[in-house]
Amino acid sequence: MKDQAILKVENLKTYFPVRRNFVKTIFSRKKREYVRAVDDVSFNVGEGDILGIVGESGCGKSTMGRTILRLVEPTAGKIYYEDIDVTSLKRRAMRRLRRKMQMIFQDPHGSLNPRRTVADILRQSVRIHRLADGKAEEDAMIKNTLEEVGLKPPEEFWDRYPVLLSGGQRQRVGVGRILILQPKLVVADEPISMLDVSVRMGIIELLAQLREKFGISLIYITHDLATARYICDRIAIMYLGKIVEIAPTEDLLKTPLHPYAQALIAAVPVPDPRVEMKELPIIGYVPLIPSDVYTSCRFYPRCPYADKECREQDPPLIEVSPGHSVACIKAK
Amino acid sequence: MALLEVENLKIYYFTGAGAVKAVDDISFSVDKDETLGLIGESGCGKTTAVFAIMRFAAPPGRIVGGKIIFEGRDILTMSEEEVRLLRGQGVAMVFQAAQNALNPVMTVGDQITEVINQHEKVTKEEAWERARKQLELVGIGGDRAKGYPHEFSGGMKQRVGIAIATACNPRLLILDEPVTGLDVIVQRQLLNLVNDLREKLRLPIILITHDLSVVAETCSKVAVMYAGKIVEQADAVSLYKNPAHPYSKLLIEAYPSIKGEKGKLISIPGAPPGLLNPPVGCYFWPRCPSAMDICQEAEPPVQTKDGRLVACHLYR
Repeated sequence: MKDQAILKVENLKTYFPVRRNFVKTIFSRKKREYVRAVDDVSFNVGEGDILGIVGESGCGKSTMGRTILRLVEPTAGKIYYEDIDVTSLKRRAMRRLRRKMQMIFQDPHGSLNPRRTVADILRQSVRIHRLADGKAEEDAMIKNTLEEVGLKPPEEFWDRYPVLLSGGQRQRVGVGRILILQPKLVVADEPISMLDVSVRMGIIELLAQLREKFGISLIYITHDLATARYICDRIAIMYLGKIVEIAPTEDLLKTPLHPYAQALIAAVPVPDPRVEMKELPIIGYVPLIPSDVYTSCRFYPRCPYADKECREQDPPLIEVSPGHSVACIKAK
Repeated sequence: MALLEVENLKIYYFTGAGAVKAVDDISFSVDKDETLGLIGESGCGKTTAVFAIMRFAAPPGRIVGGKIIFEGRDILTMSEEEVRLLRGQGVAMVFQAAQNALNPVMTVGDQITEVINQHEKVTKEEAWERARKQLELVGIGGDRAKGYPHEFSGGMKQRVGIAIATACNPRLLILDEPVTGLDVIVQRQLLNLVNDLREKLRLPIILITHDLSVVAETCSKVAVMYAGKIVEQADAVSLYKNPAHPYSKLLIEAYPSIKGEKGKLISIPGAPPGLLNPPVGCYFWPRCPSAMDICQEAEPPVQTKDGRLVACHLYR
């Protein structure tokens, strides 16, 4: 990580209230219950850094990504973008800042307006943020960006509607419409999970280029450790709203310390029939409804190493070697 | 003679714009104690091809040619009643996104007994007893039989799908994208189950997927499909070790791995051709790094090379 942090997240919490029926609301003495989607998460992203957030569905990784951009309001905690406190910004100021903080969505089919042409989709980004004087400048910017994201020649894609594009091309448009704003920080939420294997790497390369060429920092949210390995400098593993381990990529993959990280890595299938499948060091499933309050380690019901101690405290994230932190009392 | 032999199968979709050759002259076979992986990108015709084995072909799709010989009989010439009995008892299928294929207003036990009652004359108690056994077989307690699908997680619903499909002891099981959309840990648990079932029930399996690693972990034989055709067919180990067709080679190189050295990954330029107006010659030549002149003129015939089948002009 570079010394200059572009994003600092401190004790971020995002809770969603559990809906109750009207009668219960009035008569129940129990306090309101919450699903703790993001629960006390802290990390930094350096300038030009690519941080991977990896976890299973429901672990809160997408909610966290959205909270950072304030698409979801945080319940508590602070988010600093270059020393600006994002959580306290007013609507208008936030809107101005959005240009610098952008998001790439998972579904390239659903996230593009089907009734706008490729050029118009990009033009909309330019107009919202008032980046150009006049149509000629807009056109030049769009043309440039289309080339930058590999939609060449731009004339060929200019007037096309999203339905006429393949999945990979659509995702390139998705990248293009944020690149045209020249953001500093991009949250990419599962950008390749809905694409075919043969084009996935093209998008990964494109994202890596954003960093090389434009110095854009990236938060790459995924459930796929194998692709995260190819692009991320560091990886954070999330489980039930918490970061359980964060470390430089190869460090994490070679010597995972948290039992959950170990299980997650062991579960990644290897594209080689000669490799034997190993037993998984994990029990059961992710709980369907995450519990309201945690007084124990949240992984202990599934952990093969759990004992009494694990049931009594929620372990904090502790740095065990430079840049490598883990939240497990057994890992030392 | 193999358990299942598909010969020169052709399935076209007749649209207003012309015939889309979704499956174009493919042949493969599955023997007892074999697991065949059918692999390819979306839209390459892999699901359409196996649907034909159950004789599902919805208009405007039509099976226009070929034979599907299952245990010595051609499925395509069977009567409707014979096909009805075949489905479930002879060939059973777990559909793509089985998570959503379950009936939300029926208990899973009812959904399993429904299949049993369709095929066999058993008492209600017997049927339920078997439903519970099925659930235990797939690693869900029999006491969950009275539960509704929404009470199960994605991986468990997929297991219920397998329990339903194997309820009448089919002699061939088809799994269509069984782990797509599941988390890695759940995915691994499910693949373990598939491997267990194959050994326990001695059940031949056809597994459709776009994920190379899933095939690597479960299949003994692999067929690679591209644009409605099978371009290479080989046993799993030799295909991964030494792919012959340029498409299989690129597909394997494009797949990231978490183990070993981090090699450079490539992506295959371009996209698969539209099957309304496919290119002349080999369908893969516009994306192929080793394309020659002949590739743009003539369609490559399927040839045998070192015990595998490959359709490429490189091996003439």
